[in-house]
Amino acid sequence: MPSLSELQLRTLVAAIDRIVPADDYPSASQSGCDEFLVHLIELESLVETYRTGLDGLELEALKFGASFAESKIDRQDEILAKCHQTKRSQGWKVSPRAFMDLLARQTIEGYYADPGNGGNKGGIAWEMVGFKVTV
Amino acid sequence: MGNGRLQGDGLKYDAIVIGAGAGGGIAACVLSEAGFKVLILERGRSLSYEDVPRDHLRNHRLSQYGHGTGPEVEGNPRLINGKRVKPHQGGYNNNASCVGGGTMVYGMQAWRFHPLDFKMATTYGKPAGSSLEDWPVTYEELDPYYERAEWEIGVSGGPPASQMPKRRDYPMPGVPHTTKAKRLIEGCSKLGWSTQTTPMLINSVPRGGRGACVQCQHCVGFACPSNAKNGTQNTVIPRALATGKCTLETQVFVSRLLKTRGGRVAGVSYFDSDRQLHKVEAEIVVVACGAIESARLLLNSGIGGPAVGHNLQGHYYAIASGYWPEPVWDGVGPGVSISTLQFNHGNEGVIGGAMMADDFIMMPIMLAKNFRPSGVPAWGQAHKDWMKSYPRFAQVGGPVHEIPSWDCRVAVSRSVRDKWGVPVASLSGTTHPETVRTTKFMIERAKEWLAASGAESINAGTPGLWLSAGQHQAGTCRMGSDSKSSVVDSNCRVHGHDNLFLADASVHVTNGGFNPVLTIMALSFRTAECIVRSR
Repeated sequence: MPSLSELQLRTLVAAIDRIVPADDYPSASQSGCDEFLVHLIELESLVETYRTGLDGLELEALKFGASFAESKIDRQDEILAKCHQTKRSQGWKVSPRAFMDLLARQTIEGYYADPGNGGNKGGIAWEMVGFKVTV
Repeated sequence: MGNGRLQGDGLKYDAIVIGAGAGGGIAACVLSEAGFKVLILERGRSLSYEDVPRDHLRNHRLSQYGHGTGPEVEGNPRLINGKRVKPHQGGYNNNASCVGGGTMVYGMQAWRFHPLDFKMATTYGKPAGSSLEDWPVTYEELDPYYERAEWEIGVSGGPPASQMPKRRDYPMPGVPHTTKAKRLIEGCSKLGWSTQTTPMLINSVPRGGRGACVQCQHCVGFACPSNAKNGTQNTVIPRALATGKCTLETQVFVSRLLKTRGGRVAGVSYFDSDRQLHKVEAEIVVVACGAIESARLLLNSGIGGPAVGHNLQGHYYAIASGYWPEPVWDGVGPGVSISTLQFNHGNEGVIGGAMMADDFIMMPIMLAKNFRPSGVPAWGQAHKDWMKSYPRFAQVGGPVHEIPSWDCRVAVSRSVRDKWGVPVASLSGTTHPETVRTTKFMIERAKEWLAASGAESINAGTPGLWLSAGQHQAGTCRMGSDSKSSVVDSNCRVHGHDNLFLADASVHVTNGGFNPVLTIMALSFRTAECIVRSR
């Protein structure tokens, strides 16, 4: 059984693409960070935390009348920032702030760590920052 | 020793060496070459380059979710101020657990301690509340053993710094100066500070039947692709095995030293990888498990007296970082190539000081994790833009000579046991406040160095009082003459136990303002020679 529902996966992709947005270089999901995270949270027993956090983001988005993944990016940024400032929230089973810290940290781990971990496809983040592996 | 659960293997060795790291590897080599029948017992595995993944989240520089060189994440907990932690988690103070120990993946800076590092109490006085003492060994006594370590393990480096006594040169030229180092040398000349090409236990040229450094970007924390990094696993341990007198057992865990009446140890008991308990006897036992595990073994064996585990120390690092207007990253590994000994001693108003150097090539994820300036958000486009400044970033800093505290210590837990059922190490206490003062002083010097070298937006952390041990862990079985306040004598022989020796940084009275490995190696050569002479 997949660890995250289709809706949760859509929320995850939308959220991590605000953590590392696309510019001349790929966004987090374009670089494989969603796959990195799905694998990592199984290894680290974080599936329930992610389910709860992603459901929480969706809940916040629905208050504005649209699914998180369908919301405009300004709205998505606003929701992520608000969650990061919120220690506790009704309907959330984890601290929104703790979840945002975790999601941001682990997305960035996926984006900048070695491609063998599943993110940073083709070493694109290393090319972006100028880290070249010669041997 | 009539314990019915133990399986005696019937063999008796001249010497058992526990731990195949920096100290143990050397002791095993010297003893084997002197004709001793030696058994090395190592809890980790023998690893090749291919066995150590280049995983940026699981290595000995950043062990976010594990590390490639042991000990295993599960079954080996420690207590840190009462909190249970796993080997890859913060506060565990891990060192690699494999043949070669830390030297398999270390940053291999090959510093001798300064002559005054051995005489801190005499030079500066003993601060109230500290356990600062002089060493019972001088620099001059260690000089020939430092030289042995430099030549037999293999050090490359520039001419020794003017602050150090005259001595023989290094056997290999230093690693080339990087673009960043050239800027930092310019900074030093502006400031009137002398520099030295950083001495490192690495082949800058082919030596010992192995190749030269290929200047890769994965040095500290990883295994070496050209086997140019000189650890005990590719120098003295192969020499020991080549004598035909030495047996290396891996994936075995020594649980106890076996006492006899009359102050000798009879041998050790250990678990093999099938969890079978063995006992093995020897004339001599050398404990070299690192300052935390050696203290744990002595405590679990009821050996060593009241000072075992006390005076735990390591190194505070005084670090500053900054950004140049243009890239200073040239990708030439290891990345450390320039250092200054300008501030190891003679600093107005503080005790001791530190060597300062530039840093290894940094994994991008470490920049993201450890160096985000306060003005940069935790995510978003601005974060991504900041990460693009990676080639303009560098840090300098170094290991501050800690002022030890008796209360900073390793004990053994009464409740938590490891996978073998052996009580685990329990760490508590902090360094002495003077360490923090010296660190603050050195951070200012690190900032000056960067500023004079053209860096901008210079940042540094604020040190507090904490427990410091880390890979430089030391002090838990210190040398001295009084068995109440020290554990070993000046030959690293345990007080009251004629045939029991320690060969790791646990014997360090203080830990110098330098990376400690060359001192561990020098002392081990000296201790092993002492064992051979007294046979």
